[in-house]
Amino acid sequence: MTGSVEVAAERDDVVDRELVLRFLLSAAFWLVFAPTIGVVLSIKFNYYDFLGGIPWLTWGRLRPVHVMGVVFGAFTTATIGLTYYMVPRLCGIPMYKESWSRAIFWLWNVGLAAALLSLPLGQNLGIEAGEFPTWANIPIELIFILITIQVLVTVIRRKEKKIYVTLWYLTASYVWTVFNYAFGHFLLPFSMPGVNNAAMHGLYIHYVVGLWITPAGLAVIYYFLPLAAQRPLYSHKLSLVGFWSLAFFYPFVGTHHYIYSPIPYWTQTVAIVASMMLIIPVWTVIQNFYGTFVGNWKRFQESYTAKFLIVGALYYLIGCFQGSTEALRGMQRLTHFTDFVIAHSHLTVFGTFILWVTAGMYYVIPRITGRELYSRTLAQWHFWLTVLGFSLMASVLTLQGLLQGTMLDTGADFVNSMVAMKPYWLTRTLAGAAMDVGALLGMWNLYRTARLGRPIEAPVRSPSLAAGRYPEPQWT
Amino acid sequence: MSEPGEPEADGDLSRYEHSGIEERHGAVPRWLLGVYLAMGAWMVYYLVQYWSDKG
Repeated sequence: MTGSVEVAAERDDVVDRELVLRFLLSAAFWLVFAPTIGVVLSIKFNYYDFLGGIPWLTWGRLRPVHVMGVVFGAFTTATIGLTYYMVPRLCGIPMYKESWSRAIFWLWNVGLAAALLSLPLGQNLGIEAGEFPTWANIPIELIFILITIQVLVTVIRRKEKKIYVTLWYLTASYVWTVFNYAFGHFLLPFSMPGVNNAAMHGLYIHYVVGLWITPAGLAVIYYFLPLAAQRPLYSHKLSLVGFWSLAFFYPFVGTHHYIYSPIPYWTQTVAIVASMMLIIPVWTVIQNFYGTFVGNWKRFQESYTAKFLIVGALYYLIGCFQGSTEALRGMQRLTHFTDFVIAHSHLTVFGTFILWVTAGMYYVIPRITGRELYSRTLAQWHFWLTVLGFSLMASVLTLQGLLQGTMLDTGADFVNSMVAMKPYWLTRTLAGAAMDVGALLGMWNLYRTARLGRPIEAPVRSPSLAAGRYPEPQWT
Repeated sequence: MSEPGEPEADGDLSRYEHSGIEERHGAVPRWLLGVYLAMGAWMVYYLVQYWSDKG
């Protein structure tokens, strides 16, 4: 027999709480920093000479900071932190080689900061989403390898017999990324000239999105959704259909960046088909998510984790449908080189995956610190500024993309198509600023939660509580 | 009674002991099966029709 307190201690022991907190708080910094660079960039659309006199703050130097900062700073740092929380709890044992993780924390954050700083200074490999200089890519690649080993060995040694779908996605995303990061940073910039390089770059950039951000993000929502909904996951079967269809179709998607290019026609067709077929995994996981919530929608009002997950799932549905149909030749002709593409990338990367890891942070930080959420008011502001600001930004970008495409397709002068965008770009800047203020308030709230939140009561020996569980923190 | 570490089965319900997550084995809804079939048919059509540029 195990007493409830002993069970609680056993459960607590599997997670290195301090490490997870460190990662999530550093992710909070990147979650504010990287989108703020995006707002600075968007101002340049309204005032073309804004910061233009300073070489390291020009568009070409700052845009990679925004893109790489969101992908590897905000999303990846949060995902690594959540990995160190989810994997031990799903396996029932501590992470393999926990001692590595402290070194990984420092190496990751210092390496990332140095790499992001090097971009405005002009060091850039010239591969979109693979822009860090080689000296920075060596530690980053090493970190992906080390975490992959930690995840794989922990999963192999797990106490739980079944492997929950989160572990499927996480394991796959780390393994895929070890190879893809090396491909994009050590092979692509140095060994493939010409059109082959472009074709392979299409694959690389979509592997970042589809074989890292997407499966890692899905791992996060599959973990926190049933917990936030306080309901069983709707279907194990659907989660496997979603995983395998994603794994089968995504590797062929990347070439859709080069429709109407010198790349062989049949490869473009395969990319278009694969892009459209992604409707299958997307609609499958959406059915699973919303099916899980059916019967307990009140959790949407009660829990910030639930709020961010559900709204992110809605953006996921919209953004992915946009991405699939965008690959069709007719839509590509209309939307390529327009802000429609930017709408799609923001809907998926920010609207979906950043919101999902944010939801994970709202769930985890109170639990690993044993403290209630510091301020519900700040959380409300975070949520609504994010939702309203982002919905406006995504709508405006989509609309202006269609408008630009239509104007150019009907023979309008390029300059006139740009002049017509002025009110939309201003709206985008204001919407982006609202999102950033929201993020700042939210991350400040999580920081204050970790430091000053009201302590949650100690474990209670009560038959009404599951054995050894702490009482649930409120609003998370 | 489940063995330690084994998901506790309750009908179609599985429980992951350490995380507290539960999952069901819900069926694939008919509308979603329809989507799978429609997308499969469209895939075959599109690949055949647009494999090469017919000008």
